Amino acid sequence: MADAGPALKKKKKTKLFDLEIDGVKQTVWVRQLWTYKWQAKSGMPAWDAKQKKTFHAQIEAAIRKTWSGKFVLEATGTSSFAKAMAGKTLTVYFDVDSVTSGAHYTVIANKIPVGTWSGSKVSPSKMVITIDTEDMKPEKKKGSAKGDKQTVASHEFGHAIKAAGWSDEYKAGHVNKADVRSIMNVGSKVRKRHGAHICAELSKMIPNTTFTVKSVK
Amino acid sequence: MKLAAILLVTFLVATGCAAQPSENSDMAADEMATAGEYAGARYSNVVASLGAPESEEDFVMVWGELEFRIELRNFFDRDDIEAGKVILRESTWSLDGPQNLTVWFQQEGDMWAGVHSRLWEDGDLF
Repeated sequence: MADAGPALKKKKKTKLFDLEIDGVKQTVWVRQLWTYKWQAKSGMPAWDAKQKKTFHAQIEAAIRKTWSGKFVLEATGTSSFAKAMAGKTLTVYFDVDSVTSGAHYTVIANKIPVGTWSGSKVSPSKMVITIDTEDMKPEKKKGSAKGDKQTVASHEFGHAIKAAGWSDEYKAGHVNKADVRSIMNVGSKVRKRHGAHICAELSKMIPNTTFTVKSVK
Repeated sequence: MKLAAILLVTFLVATGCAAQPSENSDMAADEMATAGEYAGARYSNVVASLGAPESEEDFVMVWGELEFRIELRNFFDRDDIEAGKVILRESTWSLDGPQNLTVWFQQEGDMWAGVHSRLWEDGDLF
């Protein structure tokens, strides 16, 4: 079956995110759907509607700042799409939407006092992300490069899109432990390897087409 | 009227409404309870109760500790941490199934006293 060449617009749902390829605009959108579970630390006032909206906007902004527009992809292969994309690239953008059903992840949003700390994490087996109201503040992490700060929300989102497989790059023995500027380590930078899972999923969408990360902006 | 109220409550319980996670619920009650359970506990008593830990590490806490240890910041002054005065022992036990328990102890003279703990599961990413 012939594909639509460069005009191709194609969507796909995956376990971790939805994908949308637009050959004309030369874009790929990675869209993750979250259902929030709002929690407040004892003694904290409950979340109100405005706070929930602000929290989502802030976390999406942090994620986009780190991840959106960074991956530059190329498509190769024997498909008419791949041939039409020869010499061209696609840029990957990210979107996080709050939904009440059909979410990829349940997101436990913990409201904690300013200047206190709560452990955040991603549980791939349960498809749960746990984050808090202090996770949008860039901070210097142990072992990080001089001047480099990491935003926890962006690091956890990286886990949620399987940017480092299912691993933390800062762990002893990890193949990328020395790359301390990486967002999936203790730094803030996106690396080509972090787009491998997205490319693997994209490569399943158009027959005879392979997507790879050409560069990172 | 009273009967109607009893029937309504019975219906809500029977249909599971009471078990639904409410919006604006307290932060994970089980984890918070566990976190406090070992505060002040002697290391020797915890080991006597849980057995030898699967892994253990003594370390000098730094301000930039990674996410797994980030809650420890709640228990010490930043000045003391940055002066290298906070010496901790991190002990981890495997519980049922994929669940693990990590307890942090602080050195107090010749003993170690529990400061904080965290329940987590195999495969969790921090």
